[in-house]
Amino acid sequence: MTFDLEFALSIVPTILSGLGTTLWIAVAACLGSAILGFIWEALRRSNRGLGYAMRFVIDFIRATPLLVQLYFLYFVLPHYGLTLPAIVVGVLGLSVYYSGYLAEVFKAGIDGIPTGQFEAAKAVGLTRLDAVLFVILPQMLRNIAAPMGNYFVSALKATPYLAVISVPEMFGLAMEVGSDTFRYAEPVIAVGIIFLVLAVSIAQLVRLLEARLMASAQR
Amino acid sequence: MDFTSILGGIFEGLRVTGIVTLYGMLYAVPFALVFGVLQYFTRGTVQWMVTAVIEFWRSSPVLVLLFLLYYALPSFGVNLSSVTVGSMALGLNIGGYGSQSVRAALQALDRGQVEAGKALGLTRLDVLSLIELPQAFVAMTPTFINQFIQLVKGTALVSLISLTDMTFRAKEIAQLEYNPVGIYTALLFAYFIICYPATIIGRRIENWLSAGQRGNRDF
Amino acid sequence: MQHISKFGILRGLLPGLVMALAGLAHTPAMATTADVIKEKGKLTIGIHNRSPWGFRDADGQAAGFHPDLVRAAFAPLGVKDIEFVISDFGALMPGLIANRFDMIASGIAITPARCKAVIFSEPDLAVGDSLIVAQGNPYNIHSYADVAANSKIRLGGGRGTLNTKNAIDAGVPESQMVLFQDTESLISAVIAGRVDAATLSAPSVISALQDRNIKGVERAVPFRGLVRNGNPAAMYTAIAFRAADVGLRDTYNAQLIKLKGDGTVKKIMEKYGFTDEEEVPSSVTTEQVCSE
Repeated sequence: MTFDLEFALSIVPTILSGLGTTLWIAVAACLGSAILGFIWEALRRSNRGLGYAMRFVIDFIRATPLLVQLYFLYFVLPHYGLTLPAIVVGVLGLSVYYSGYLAEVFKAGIDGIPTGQFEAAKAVGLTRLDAVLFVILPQMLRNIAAPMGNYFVSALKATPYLAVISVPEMFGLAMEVGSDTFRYAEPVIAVGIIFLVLAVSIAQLVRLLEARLMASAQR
Repeated sequence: MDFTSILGGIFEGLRVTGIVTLYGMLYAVPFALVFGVLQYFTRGTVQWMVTAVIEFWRSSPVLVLLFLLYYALPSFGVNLSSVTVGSMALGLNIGGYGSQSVRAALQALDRGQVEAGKALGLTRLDVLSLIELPQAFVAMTPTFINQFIQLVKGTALVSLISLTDMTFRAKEIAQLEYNPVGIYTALLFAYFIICYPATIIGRRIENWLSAGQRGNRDF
Repeated sequence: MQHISKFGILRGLLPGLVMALAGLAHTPAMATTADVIKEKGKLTIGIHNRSPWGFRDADGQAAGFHPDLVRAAFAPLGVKDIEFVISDFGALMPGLIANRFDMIASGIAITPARCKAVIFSEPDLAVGDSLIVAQGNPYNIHSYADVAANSKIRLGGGRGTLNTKNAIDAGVPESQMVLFQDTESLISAVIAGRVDAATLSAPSVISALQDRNIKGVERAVPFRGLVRNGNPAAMYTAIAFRAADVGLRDTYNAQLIKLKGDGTVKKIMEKYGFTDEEEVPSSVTTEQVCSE
C-alpha cells in the first residue's frame, strides 16, 4: 500500500482531538514530578541515612525503563486493591519517572548557588527558613527554570507511552485509526509531524525563557 | 511459575536487548560526535540544516520514530529489518540528545585555547581535533555512559515492534499465565541489575571530574 | 609530519555509515512471496500469541490451530520451517501489509473491511463471541443488547478485533467501549474492574479461563451475540495474505481442500478443543462473507 495523502489529512482532526489530553498529561506529570523531586531532594539533604535511601530509590527509578514502570503500575497495583483509571496511572508513572531527574535538577540548582551565599546568609543572621525563602529559593528557581521547561517537553514526548495502557492521547488515537483501517503509515506520519511541531515550538519558548532569565541574572 | 523461572524466561530476551543496544550505540555515538561538532563548528544555512536533522531525531517522541520506521517506511518501498528499525530509532534519538552534550562540552571550553592554538599557527581543523576535542572528551564521557544506560532502557520499546527482547519475553509469559506481580517485578529487576552498575560507574567518573565544585551547601 | 586529525577520521566514517545504512535496507523483492517461500523452504507467519489461535509453545515453536493448519498445508510442498512474528492482534494486518510476515495464521476473521485490504483463504472455523464478566455476573449480562441497555456498563474489546465490531454493530455505543491493544490488558481490565465485561471469541475465553491464576471472573452464560438476519452471526476465521499474493493464497486453498477431505482439519480442531459446532458449513465461502 502506498502513502495516501488525502487519507493522512482526513485523520488529522481525529488525532488532534487528543491534543488536550496530551497537554494535560504533560502538565500534570511536570507538576507531579516537580513536587516529588523536591521532596526527594529535601529529604536527601535533611538526613544522612534517609539520603542514602532516597539516592537508592531515585537510582532504581532511573535504572528501569519508563515502559516497564507503567506496565508495573497498571497491572500490579490493582492486584493490591488500587485500581486507578489508566490516565491517572499514566500521570503517576510519568511523575515518578521524572521525579528522579528533577531531584537532580533541584540538587544542581542548589549546588549552582555559590557557597558564599549560604555562608553570607548565616553570617547576616538569617534564620534557616528566611535563608531558604529569600536567598536560596529565588536563585534556585532561576537555575531550574530552563531544565524544568526541558522536562515539560520531555514529558510531552513521553505521552505516547501511555497509549500502551489505553489512554486516549494523540498517539493512541493514531494507533486506533491504524488498527481500524489497517493503514499505520498515514496516522503515524500525521502524529509524528504534530509532535515535532509541538516539541520544537515549545522548546523554542523554553530557550527564550532561558535567555530572558540569563539576562535578568546579569547585574 | 516461580520468580526464578520468570526471570530466566525474561533473560532469554537479553540477547536481543544486547544486540539492539550495541547497534544503537553504533548509531548514537557517531551521530552525537559528528553532528555535535558540526553544529558547533558551522554557521548560517549549513548550521541550520545540521540543526534541523538533529532536531528531527531529538524532538520526535521515540515511539513515533519507532513506528515511523517500522510501519510507514514500507509504504515508500523501504523495508528495514526490525533490529535495524529498533537500533536506528533509539540510537539516532539518543544520539540527537548526545549531540547537544557534545556541543555544550565544546562551547564550555575556554576561548583562549582556540586563540592560543591559532596563534601557534595550527589550522582551525587541527585546533578542533588536537586541542578542543580531547579536552571536551573528558566532559563528554559521562554523556556517553548515560547514552548507554538510556539505550538499554529504550530497548524495552522494541517489544512493541515484535522484537523478542526482555520486555517482550515478559509479556509473552504474561499471555501464558496471569501473574502480573511476579512478571513485572522480575522485569523491573532484570533491567535494574544491568543498568544500576552502569549508573554507579558513571557517577564515580562524574565525581572524579567535578572535584572542584564541592563545598558546604547543607542548610 | 601529517596529523591524522580526529575530524578527518570522523569524516571518513560518515560515508561508510551511510553506505552501511543503505545496505541494511533491503530493496522490495522482485520475486513473489510464493517464489521466495519455495526457494527458502520456509515461511513466516504472524501470530498474536493467544491460545488456541496462534501462540509460542514451551519449545519456542509456533503452535495453535492456524499455525498447525499452515504447517500441514505447506509441508507437502517442501516448506520445512515455519517462523513466526508475534504481534498485537490489531497490528497483524498492518504488519502483513508492511511485509513483516508472509501470512496471518492467528484466528483472524473474514470481514468485508479486511477483505478490501488483504485476501483471505477459504474459512476454516466458525466461532461466536463470548463475554468475560465479573464473578457472579453482577450486571446480569447475557447479550450485547444488555450492555447497550445499561449505560453504566463498560465493555472492553481488543483493538481491531471483529468481536469489538460485533459489539458496536449490535448496538453498544462507542462511549461504553474501552479498547485494549492486547488480550492480557483486556483480561486484566476485567479482573481489576476497569471494565465490567470483555468480548472475545468463545474459544479464546474458554482457553483464557483455564488459567488457574485468574480469579474473580467467569464466562457469561448463556450469551447471545450479534444477530444478523435472524441468525447468530458467526465469525469465520481464515488465513490472510497480502493482496498481491493471489497465487500463494490459491495454493493454500487447494491444500486446504485436501486437508478437509482427509480429516487433518478435523484432527487439528479436536487437538485444540473445537467441536462440530465450529465446523464451517460448506455453503459458506470467503467471497460470500467478504461481500456481506
